[in-house]
Amino acid sequence: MSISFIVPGSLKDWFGGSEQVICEGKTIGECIDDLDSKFPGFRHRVFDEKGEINSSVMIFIDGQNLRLLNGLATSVKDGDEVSIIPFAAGG
Amino acid sequence: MILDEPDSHFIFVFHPKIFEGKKYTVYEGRELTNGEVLKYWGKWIFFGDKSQLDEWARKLDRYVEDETIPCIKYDRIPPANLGLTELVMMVYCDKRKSEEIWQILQQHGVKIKAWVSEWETMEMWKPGGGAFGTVD
Repeated sequence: MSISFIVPGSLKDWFGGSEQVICEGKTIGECIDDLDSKFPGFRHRVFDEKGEINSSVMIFIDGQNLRLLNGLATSVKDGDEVSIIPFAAGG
Repeated sequence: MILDEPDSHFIFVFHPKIFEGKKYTVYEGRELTNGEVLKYWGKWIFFGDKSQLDEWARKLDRYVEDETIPCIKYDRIPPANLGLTELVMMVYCDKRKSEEIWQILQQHGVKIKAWVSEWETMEMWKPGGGAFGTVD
């Protein structure tokens, strides 16, 4: 399944200079793993060692805050778009 | 109308009725109660540089004038005190209208799809919230 991850320009260095990348996975966790293999260190930018969302970011699946969903186990489907923004922008 | 006062950090897009004392927290033409604001109110958040956000403000102003979009707010300069290097634009609306308004934003080239409710914002900024830090 192809899932699109989108970040604002200020975070595009996370994806080698791109604001949008495609990854594979059936859950957010699998997508993060796939992206971490392509962009080493990505996992630690968005999740801490306990598997909690890093306090510096907010993650949205089709506009919905991942903190209100099921974390890394949250299912995704083909064509879903995941947006990541700096946490401080959410106020 | 775009309210661009140089002394203000934020630039707003409001309907002129705001100056008649009308609230912008409305749904289907009816002002929301405080409880409804906490339950339904929120905003789409996205980013850009000043020229891009100015252009979006001009293009979206007609949707504010026809009262499809209740209110828009964006930074004049990047909020460096929050560690951000880009300007943030927030398009406020009722959750029950949020997908309709997202379609408009998407048509105008917005890609980041991030909905933050008023309730979440309050949780973030209260003592102990993620944005405010912990108070001992």
